[in-house]
Amino acid sequence: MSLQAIGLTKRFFDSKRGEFNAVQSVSFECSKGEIFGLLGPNGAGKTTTLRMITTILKPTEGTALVNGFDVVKDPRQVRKQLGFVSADTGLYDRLTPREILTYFGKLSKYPKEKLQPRIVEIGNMLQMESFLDSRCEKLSTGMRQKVSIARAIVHDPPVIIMDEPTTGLDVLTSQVLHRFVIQCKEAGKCVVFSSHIMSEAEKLCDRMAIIHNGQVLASGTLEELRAESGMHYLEDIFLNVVKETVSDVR
Amino acid sequence: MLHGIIERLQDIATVAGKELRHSFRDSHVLIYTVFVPLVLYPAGLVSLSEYTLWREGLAETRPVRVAFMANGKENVPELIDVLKATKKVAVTESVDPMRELEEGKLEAVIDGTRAPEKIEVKLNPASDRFLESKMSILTHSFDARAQAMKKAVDAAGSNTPVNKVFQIATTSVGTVGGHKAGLRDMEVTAFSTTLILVAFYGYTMLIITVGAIYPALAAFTEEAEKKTKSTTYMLPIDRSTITIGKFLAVTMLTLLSGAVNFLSMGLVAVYFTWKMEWLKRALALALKQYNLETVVLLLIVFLLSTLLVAAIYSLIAASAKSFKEAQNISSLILMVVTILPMVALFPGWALDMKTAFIPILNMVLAAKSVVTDSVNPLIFCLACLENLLIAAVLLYMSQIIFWGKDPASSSAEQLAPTSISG
Amino acid sequence: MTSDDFEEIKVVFAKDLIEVLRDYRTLIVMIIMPVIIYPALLVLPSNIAQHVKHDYKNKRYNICLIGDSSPAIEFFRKAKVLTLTKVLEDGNPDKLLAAHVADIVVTFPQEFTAQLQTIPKQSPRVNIYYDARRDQNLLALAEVRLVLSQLRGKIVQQRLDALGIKTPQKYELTFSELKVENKKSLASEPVRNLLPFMLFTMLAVSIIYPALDVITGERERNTLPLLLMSATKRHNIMYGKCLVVFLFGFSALMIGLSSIYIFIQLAGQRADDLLVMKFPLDALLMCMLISIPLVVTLSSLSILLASWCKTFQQGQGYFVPFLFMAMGASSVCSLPELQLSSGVAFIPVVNTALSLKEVLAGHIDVLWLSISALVTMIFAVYVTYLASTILDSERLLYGVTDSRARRRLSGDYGLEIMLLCFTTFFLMFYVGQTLQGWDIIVGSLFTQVLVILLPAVALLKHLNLPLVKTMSLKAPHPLSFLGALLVTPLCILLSIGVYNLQSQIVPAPEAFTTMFTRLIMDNDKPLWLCLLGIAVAPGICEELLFRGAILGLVRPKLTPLQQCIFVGVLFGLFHMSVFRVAPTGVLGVVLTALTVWTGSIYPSMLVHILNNSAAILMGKYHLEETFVSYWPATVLLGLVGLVLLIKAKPKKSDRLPESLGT
Repeated sequence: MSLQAIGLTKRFFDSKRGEFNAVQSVSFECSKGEIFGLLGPNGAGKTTTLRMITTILKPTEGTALVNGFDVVKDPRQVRKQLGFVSADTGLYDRLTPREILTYFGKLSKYPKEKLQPRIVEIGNMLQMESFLDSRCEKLSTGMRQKVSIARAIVHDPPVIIMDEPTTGLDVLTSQVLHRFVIQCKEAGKCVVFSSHIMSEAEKLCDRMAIIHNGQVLASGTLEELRAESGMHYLEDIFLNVVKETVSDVR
Repeated sequence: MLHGIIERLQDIATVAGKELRHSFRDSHVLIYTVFVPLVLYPAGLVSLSEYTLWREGLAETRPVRVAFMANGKENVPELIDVLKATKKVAVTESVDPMRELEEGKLEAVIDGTRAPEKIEVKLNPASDRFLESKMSILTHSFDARAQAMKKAVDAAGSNTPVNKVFQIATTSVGTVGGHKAGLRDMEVTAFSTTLILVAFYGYTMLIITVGAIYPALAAFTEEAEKKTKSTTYMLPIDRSTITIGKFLAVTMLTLLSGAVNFLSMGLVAVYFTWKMEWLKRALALALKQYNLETVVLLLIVFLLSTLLVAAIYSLIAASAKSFKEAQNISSLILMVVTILPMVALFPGWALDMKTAFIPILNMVLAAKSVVTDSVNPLIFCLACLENLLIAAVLLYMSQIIFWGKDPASSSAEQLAPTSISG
Repeated sequence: MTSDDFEEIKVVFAKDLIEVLRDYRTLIVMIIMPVIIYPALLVLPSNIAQHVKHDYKNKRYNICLIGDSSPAIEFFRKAKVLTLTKVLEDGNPDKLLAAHVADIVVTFPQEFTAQLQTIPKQSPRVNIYYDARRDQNLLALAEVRLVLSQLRGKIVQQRLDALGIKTPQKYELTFSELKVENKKSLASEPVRNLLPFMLFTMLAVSIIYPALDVITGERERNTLPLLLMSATKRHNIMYGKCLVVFLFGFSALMIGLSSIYIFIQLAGQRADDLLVMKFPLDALLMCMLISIPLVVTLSSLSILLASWCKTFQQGQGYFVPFLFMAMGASSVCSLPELQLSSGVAFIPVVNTALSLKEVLAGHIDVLWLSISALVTMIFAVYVTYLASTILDSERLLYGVTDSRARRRLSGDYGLEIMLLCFTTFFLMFYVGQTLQGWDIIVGSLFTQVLVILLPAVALLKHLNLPLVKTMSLKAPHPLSFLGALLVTPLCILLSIGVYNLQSQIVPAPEAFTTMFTRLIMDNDKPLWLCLLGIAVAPGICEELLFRGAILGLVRPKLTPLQQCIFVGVLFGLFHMSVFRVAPTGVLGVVLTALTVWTGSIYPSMLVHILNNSAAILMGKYHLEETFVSYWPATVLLGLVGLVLLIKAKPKKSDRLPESLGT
């Protein structure tokens, strides 16, 4: 198994809300050549879950295994296995995409002699040759997002984690991204993908988990979810699952 | 017409109110206006006095070591006596004084061979106490001379007090307080004037300036950094209204910060000053000259300085693209604003037709003229007017620079490449 | 350190260097500052001084003489600065001044000439009238007094001649400087005193921007999480970034130093004899070399500072205190006779300042300079490492914190202790000093109760902690009282020893050493009241604060050794005096150890009360030397006391509780 989340829990504190679990014993797994979707509304705990897997946050309880390495016990090994794409991470404005890719490639110990060819290859794949050498401060949102993606995969990691990567992108760029995700899958990567856009999940994900208020409410393949709920469209299934918990709580 | 003005004022108040609320929700403003004055100044003063004591202790335990050349000693007995009597100088015996001087075991060697016409003092320029020993020996030589004279008179068996010639008394027709005063008070007067000036210029200018940076950044630069500028741009009110509102908020916060800092610093200073008799009298004299008129005039000067500094920082904040850029320029300005008024402390500099037109400096000089009771109403008003004018020009410039680049077109620019890239 | 580590540092270094260099607008400011502003800071005062001097030379002050001024008039005519406008027989000085006829009026007695011939019992009085509101009049006043002293000198000489006494005409000193050939890097004293201060300021200003840019910038642009997710070691990232900051700081310093050098060569000679500015080339080169440790220290500290900041704004806010601290550290250079070899070489930051001073004084002591550099490097590496541990703090990254209740439950009372310390300091300063200024004994009594005890008890009450348990208010083994009693003289001896030891570096001036005794002596209060106010009350209240509340609050988180050191150091700092930090700190450690060992606060109260009483009595009856001379007996008693204390060690069940749960 490439990625395994085991009872991940994260407790937050807010002076207004008091203590609460942003993520409550979330478990899932994703294997090689698989795309796993983490679906949920804003504030459901998707990002927190992914941050724990990427070793940026320490889980209050539980752990995750990435390619067999434990995020709590062996974070440095875990970091070597990961590529992370997110809509809200920044770029170095005064560097060019090529410089950024070289920097992260070197930091992630990608073999030096293969690094430049690799950057050219990624550039081709993501259609970013035209702006590889202009400074990031001059790039548009779509271009920047492509640079973010390129940066995540420059060291060719076996596990790729994407946190709402299509937020704020137009149809054309989203299309490039979707194609890229599928390419990753074909290359045998393990892809974890969070989103609140149902059509995207429907199109890309092999399996998925619906997460709400920090808890996994349902998980499985699209077919399994359909069978369980008796509905066809993912959006309906999603609304149904989320509504149930809301009524449970009340 | 009137309705329009009222509406505009209301808009300005709304904008200023929002900026004030925005700033007060930031913990830094609280830290700067409450925590720093309450704890930093006492701590600073405690460490300063500790430092002084430490220095004093070092000077006492390690007196300036002086040796006399063996063959000239009998020529300067008075100097030896005087130096031996003081605690900060130690007269030591030495076989080879020049070598010890070179080795740093002595600070000075006095050669009295050709005394009293010429007494040579050799010093080691590498010594830590080079200047100190020079000054110390020099001052003591005056006493030695007086003693030598007294000895000579005594030796002549004359008991006439030759030294009794006349007394000098000094009276000032008007001290700063407006009273006649003797010499002792002259020093006190000079000190109290300086006290107020130092407090006014150095401190206030620094504090106003430090206090203005943050609110200005929050009001102007933050709009650019947090990308709220275009929303603000689209508001259905005049753009100058927004600029003025922001500027008002900056001014008010600066005033507040200046006032709080000034008060607490004053409190700490008064606290310390009160402990020393001499300083206490100076302080009492300094306080005595505050009548309603001087207070009002000083407040005007304080307010105008604040306006100008707030305008300067509004301009910097409005023209900066990011916080760090603004910060960099502001440290430059900080230096100029705090150093320029230092000139006012030198004697002879007063508010006249020339200096009245040097911004910042003229306000400090105006304050000087107030505390020395030499206000020339015309020049004072000219300085104030000029200050206001510059503030207005700076404000107008920040208005142009802040809104200069059309935010609508820049966002369009950003959208364009997206479609191409797809 | 492996080659891998170097590789990682190199990669980070190269990237951050490019990034900072590309921000040319701020770079320009960085260069302008050292090249123009700092030399300008030197130029401005000297130019103004020149201007004032010029002014003074050309300015003429109008002077009026009233009365019998004939003996003095020639001297006034000769004085260049003064213009004699009127010489009157009689007149009103106030009117003359008010009419602006004169800046200064000097009145002489009517029979002044005659009075000078004889030597009357009552010497004649010369009055000077002027207007103190105009500050330049002070210059004129000085001139008038000079003229009058010339007159006086002439009269005295006349009288001596008349009596036939030959007096030393001159008692004039000529100063000459020793030629020191072996000290090539010797700069003149003003430069020695000023330069370290300027370098510290210059450096602090020029490194803060790169430091904030490479660290806080990553945080603000949200690129930090990605950096943290890379497989590179975090401290290597920090070392790389620190190198960038170092490089910028060093370049700025080189530029600044060079421009200061050029300025001094061009303009330094103009200054007058006393404040001659000499800054030879050797000194410049040595300065550049020796400032490397300085840049390293401040770079690592600025990196630490930048790691704490969430935003640039915050960085800007912390910058001012940082600048003040840097300036404060450089002030050791103006302390006379303080040398690296006295142990300062082991104190980071301060040792870099002192190294500068020693080099500028031409005193190049390779051994101590290298020790100082070595200490600096270790310190910088440690500080940078410390910064790397803050980098991934969840609070700074995403504002993740624990609730107050949970934090307290886990025994983390750091914030509360800090609050207590600040409150106590604040109250001590304003309330305590006022009370003690009013009456040293009674005031001290009130201070102890209101300022020291009250906040501590209030805090514990607010936290809902049990007072008895937290403050260790329980009866110890009876033997431990006897043990404490016997140990007390040894404690006193120990603090006297530490005091004498620290006097090597931090000697107290006489004003300080006699202050305490003077305060007690000058007081007309009975001895018992003195003992109550200065020994018993502090013994109880200060113990309840330090060995009670603070020790109770740190107990869950620190090991016993850490507890002793932390509480001891805090106790030393609490006395707010450089001369008392070390002795009281050591005493604090001992008292804390006693409380931790016996499980009760009472033995330490006993020692504290006895210690303070002994100080009062020894001061009053001058017994200190006698006491010290009996040291073998003291040590013997102390050993017996220690044995008793070991015997009196409480059983495990009676030890201090670690958790503070209610």
